[in-house]
Amino acid sequence: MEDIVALRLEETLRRYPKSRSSLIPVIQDAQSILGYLPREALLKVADYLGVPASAVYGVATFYAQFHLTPRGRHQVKVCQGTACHVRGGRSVLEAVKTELGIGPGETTADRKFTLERVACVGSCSLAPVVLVDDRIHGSMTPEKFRKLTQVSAAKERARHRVFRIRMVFKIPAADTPLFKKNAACAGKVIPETAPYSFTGLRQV
Amino acid sequence: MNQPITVFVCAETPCLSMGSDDVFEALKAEVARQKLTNVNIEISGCHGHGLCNHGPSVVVEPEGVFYLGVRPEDVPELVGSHLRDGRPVERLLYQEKATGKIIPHYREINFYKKQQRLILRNCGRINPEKIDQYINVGGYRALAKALLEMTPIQVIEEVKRSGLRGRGGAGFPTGRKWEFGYNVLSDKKYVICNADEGDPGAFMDRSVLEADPHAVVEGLIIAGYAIGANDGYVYLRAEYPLAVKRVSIALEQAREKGFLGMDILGSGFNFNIHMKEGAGAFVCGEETALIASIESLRGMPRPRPPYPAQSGLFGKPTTINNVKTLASVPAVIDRGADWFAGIGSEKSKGTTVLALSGKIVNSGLVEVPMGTSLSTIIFDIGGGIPDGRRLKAVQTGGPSGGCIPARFPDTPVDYETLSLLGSILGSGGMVVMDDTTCMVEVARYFLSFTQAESCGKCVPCRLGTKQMLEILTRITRGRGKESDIDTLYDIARTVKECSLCGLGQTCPNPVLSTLSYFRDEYEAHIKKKNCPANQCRPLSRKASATVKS
Ligand SMILES: Cc1cc2nc3c(=O)[nH]c(=O)nc-3n(C[C@H](O)[C@H](O)[C@H](O)COP(=O)(O)O)c2cc1C
Ligand code: FES
Repeated sequence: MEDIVALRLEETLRRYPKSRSSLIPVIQDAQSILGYLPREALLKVADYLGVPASAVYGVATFYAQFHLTPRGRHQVKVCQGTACHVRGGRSVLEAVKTELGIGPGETTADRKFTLERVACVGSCSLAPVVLVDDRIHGSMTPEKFRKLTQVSAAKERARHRVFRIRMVFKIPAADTPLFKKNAACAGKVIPETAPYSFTGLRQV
Repeated sequence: MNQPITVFVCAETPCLSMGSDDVFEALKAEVARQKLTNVNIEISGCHGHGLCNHGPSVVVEPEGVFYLGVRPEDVPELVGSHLRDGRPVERLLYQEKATGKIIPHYREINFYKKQQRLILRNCGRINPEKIDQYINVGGYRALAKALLEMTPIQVIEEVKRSGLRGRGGAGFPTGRKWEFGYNVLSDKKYVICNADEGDPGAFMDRSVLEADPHAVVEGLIIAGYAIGANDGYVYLRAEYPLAVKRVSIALEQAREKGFLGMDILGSGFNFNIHMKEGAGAFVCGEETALIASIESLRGMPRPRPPYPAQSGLFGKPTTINNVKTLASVPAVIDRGADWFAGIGSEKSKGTTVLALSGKIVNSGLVEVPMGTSLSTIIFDIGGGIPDGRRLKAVQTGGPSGGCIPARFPDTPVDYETLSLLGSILGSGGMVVMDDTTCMVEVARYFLSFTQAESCGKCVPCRLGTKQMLEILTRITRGRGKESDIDTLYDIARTVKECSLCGLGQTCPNPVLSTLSYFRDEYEAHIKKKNCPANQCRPLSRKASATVKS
C-alpha cells in the first residue's frame, strides 16, 4: 500500500476501541477511504483489533457493501426490486449491460464504471430506478441511461484535470491543511474529489 | 396579505433526485430578493399526494396549495405571483388526468383525502431537521407524560390496551413484547429500532425516518423507559444515506434539548441512543441476525429460544421494534389507548402504512385504517391501473408474502385476512400487477431474491431456494416438466417447515400463493409452452417458433 493511504488507515483505526464489536464500523470506514478493501487493509484491521484474519474476511465477504477488489470510479446500480422489476427494470439492466459492456459485479477495463444490481433503494414511486454514484435517476429508459453516461464521462474528464494538478503538487490526504493550501494554489478546492485521491493518483 | 406563509419544499430522496434542493435554494434567494418578510421557506418530508414521480413538490401553507414539477426557473414567477400577490401559478398546479380538472389543494385530491394519517402525521408538515417544529406540533409531549406522570407498568398497560401490534412483519402485540422485556431482571437491557427495511417494494420506513425522525426517537425513548433500558440502538440500512443523516441530526438535537442523556426532564431516567449502519444484507432485518450484525459478526440468525427478550445484544435482554411501531407509540401515549383502539378492525388496531407501487396511477405511501378494502386502496386512492389495463393481482408483504388475485377486491387489509389468503401484511409493501405481468415470473423473481439473500446457515433454506429457483427458471424458459408443480409443492413445504428463521419459513409464500391462484398460468407454461401474459421472452408469441429445448 502507498504510504499516504496506510497512514490514513492507521489514523482511522486509532479512533476505534480495540474490540471485536468495532469490526464492521472500522471496515466501513476503511472502505470509504480506500474505495475497496485490499488484503493488506484487512490484515491491518485484524492485527489492530486482535481478531483472527479469517473472522475479518468472514465479515467482509458476508455483507454486500464490502468489496475486496478495486472498484470503478463511478458506481452504477440498477434496481431490481419488485416495483422496478414489474415496471421494466430488467430491460433497463440489459441496456445498461450493453452500454457499459460489463455484467453485474464487474468493472470496466478503464476502471470508469462498476455495475451492480440492487434490490430496492426505497424510491419505488420512480421505478424503474438507476443510481449513479448514489444519485437516483428515476423512470429510467435505455436512451436516458445513454445520456447519463455521457454526462458522467464529461465530469470524468474535468476530474482528470484536477488529478493532474494534484500530482504536480504531490497533494497528500484530503482535508489536511496542506491539501487545502495546495489545492488553493492550483486555483481550485474541490472537496468531492477527496475520496478519489488514491485511485486518482494511481490512475494518472 | 402579510399573513405568515410557510413554503415546504419536499426534501425526501425521490424529490431530491429531481432537484428539489435547487428549488429550495432558489426560493430562499428569490424571497430574500423580493423582500417578502412574511414568507418562510422550509424543507419537509413527502407531502403525501402520491405524485412523487412528478416532483419536485412544493406546498404553500396554511392554504395547502401544492405545486408539482417545480424548476428553479419557475421560482421568480411563483414567488412574485403567488407569495407576493396571492395569485397561484396555474400551470404548475395538479391537473387530474381523468377529468382535466385543476386541483390546487393537496387536501382535496383523492389520494390524500381518503387517508388517515397517524404514523405519517407530521410528514410533509414540519422540517425534519428542526426539533422546534416537531415540538410545536405536540412532539415530545408524550415523552413528558410517560416519564413524569406514568410508571413503566402504566405505559405498558396503555400500549397493551391500545392493541398496537408490531409493524415490522409478524404483528406481535407491542405491549406484550414490552411486558416480557420489563419482567426480565438484568443489570443492563437494550432497545433497538429496526430500520433495516430490506423488503423490495417497501419504502415507508425510509420515508418516516426522512420526514419525521423525532417521532421514532421519541418512541424509542418511551420504549426504553417502559422496559427499563438505558441504551437504545437504531439499526439503519446503509442504502438510506439521507435517513442516516436526518436521524443523526435528530439525535443530536434531542440531546441538546435534554430528551436524551442523564436525568431526562428531571425524571431521573437516563437514556442514550446509538446509531448503527447496516452493511447490506436482507437477512439482518431478522432480529437475531440484526443483533449479530450490531456485534460486528456475520449477520446470521440463530435459533430461538432464547428470545432476544431474554438474551439478545451482548447477551443482555433486548427488545426490538420496527420504525412504524415506534412512531405510533407517541400518538398512543399522547392521545390515549381508547382513541387508538377505536381505529382499525377488530383484531388489527390503528392504521397501516402501505407503499403503493407497480402498475398503478398514483404511487406513494398510503396510510389507511386497518381493514380498509383493497379496492378502496387501489382504485379510490391509487387511481387504478394505467394505460387502460386490467388489475390482475396485488403482491403484499414482499418476498415473505404472496399475491392476492383481483377477484378478491373487497379483502380488508389487516393481519388476519391477508394471512388467510396465503399472503401477509408484512412491512406493508404493496406492488400492483396488471395483465401484462406473468405470475410465474413473479414467483421466479422473488425466489431469485431470497436465494441470493439466504445466509446459507441452514440447509432447507440454502438448498431449497436454489432448487425452487431452478425449477421456476426452467418453467419460464419453456423447459418445464409435468412433474414440476408437484416437486415445487414438495420443496416449498419442506423449506417452510424446516428453515431456521423467518426468511426460509416464509420464502415459499410467493410460490404457493401463485400456484394456488394462478395454476393455469404454470400449466400453460409447462404444457403449452406459452406465457399467457406474454412476458417470458422465450415463450412470447414472436419467439415461440424458435424455442430450443
Ligand atoms: C428475513 C427477515 C427480514 C426482516 N426484515 C425486517 C425489516 O426490514 N424491518 C423490520 O422492522 N422487521 C423485519 N423483520 C422482522 C423482525 O425480525 C422483527 O420481528 C421486528 O423488527 C419486530 O418489530 P415489531 O414487533 O415492531 O414489528 C424481518 C424478519 C425476517 C425473518
Ligand atoms: S423497487 Fe426499485 S426502488 Fe424500490
